[in-house]
Amino acid sequence: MSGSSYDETIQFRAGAEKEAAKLLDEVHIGGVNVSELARTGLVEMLRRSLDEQDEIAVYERYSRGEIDEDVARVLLGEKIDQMEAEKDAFESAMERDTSTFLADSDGE
Amino acid sequence: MASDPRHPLLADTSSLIAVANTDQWDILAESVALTTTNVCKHELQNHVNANTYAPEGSREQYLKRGSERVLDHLDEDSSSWSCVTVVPRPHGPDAGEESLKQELSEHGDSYQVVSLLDRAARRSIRRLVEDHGYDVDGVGPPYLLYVLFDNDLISKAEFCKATGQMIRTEGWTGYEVVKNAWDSIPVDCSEFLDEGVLPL
Repeated sequence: MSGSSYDETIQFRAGAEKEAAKLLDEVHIGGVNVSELARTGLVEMLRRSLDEQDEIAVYERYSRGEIDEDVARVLLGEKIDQMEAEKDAFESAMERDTSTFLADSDGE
Repeated sequence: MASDPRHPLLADTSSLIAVANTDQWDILAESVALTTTNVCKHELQNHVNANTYAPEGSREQYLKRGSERVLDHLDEDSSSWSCVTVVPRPHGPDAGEESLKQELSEHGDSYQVVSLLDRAARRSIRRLVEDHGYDVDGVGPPYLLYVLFDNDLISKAEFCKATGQMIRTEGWTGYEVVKNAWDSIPVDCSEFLDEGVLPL
């Protein structure tokens, strides 16, 4: 995960992309924050590259404490909080007397 | 139909299809009393009509088969399920979920738990419940299976397997609703699940 190849490739060997960023910086009023742009773009692309099975795998590893929350959050975003909310709702529903929901206890 | 009773458990189209496609469908249909809306019933009918020639194993066939099972049960004279009419009738792709919100806005005190498969719909229902100060939980369809398990109508193995069946067809959506069920219930499903399907 922290292999050096990522450190190298994430330096963006950009040609036309770099020129385009420079150009945008020139023409856009107030300029653009290229680093921020790159970071946001990377997050967006990472998330877009994730299919449902990948999401499940990432969440599983996060649940087992194998990856840090901030890393999981880059890939899953607010889905992490939503999972927590889902768990709370289910737990709350579990505290109810479920026999109320059976056909026999109709009209309760 | 307009005078159908309101049971404390309210479920939407996708939620019903999800449980109808599990092995525990028959026992669920006969043991649980729940309510859905005329709009959801209409959506079920649309799934049946639109997928006449759905190929074996396809998502369309899954929707069609589940819908047929639910509709058959709703139409049975002896059924303990009820269908309430929502007015004005919502339209569009989320009509079923909207109809649940509408029903809940007007009769929130009649319900305790609302089961929806879609995450955005559950969140939306929870907001509504909070705004109205109702005592209602918005959960995924595994809860319907949990009711059977909690009342000793199905075994732990049956609960786990049926819950696992939902994941395979629903991807992240299924995973999300199932994972929180597994996390919440003090049940270790690992011994009953196929390798790679998940948790624990």
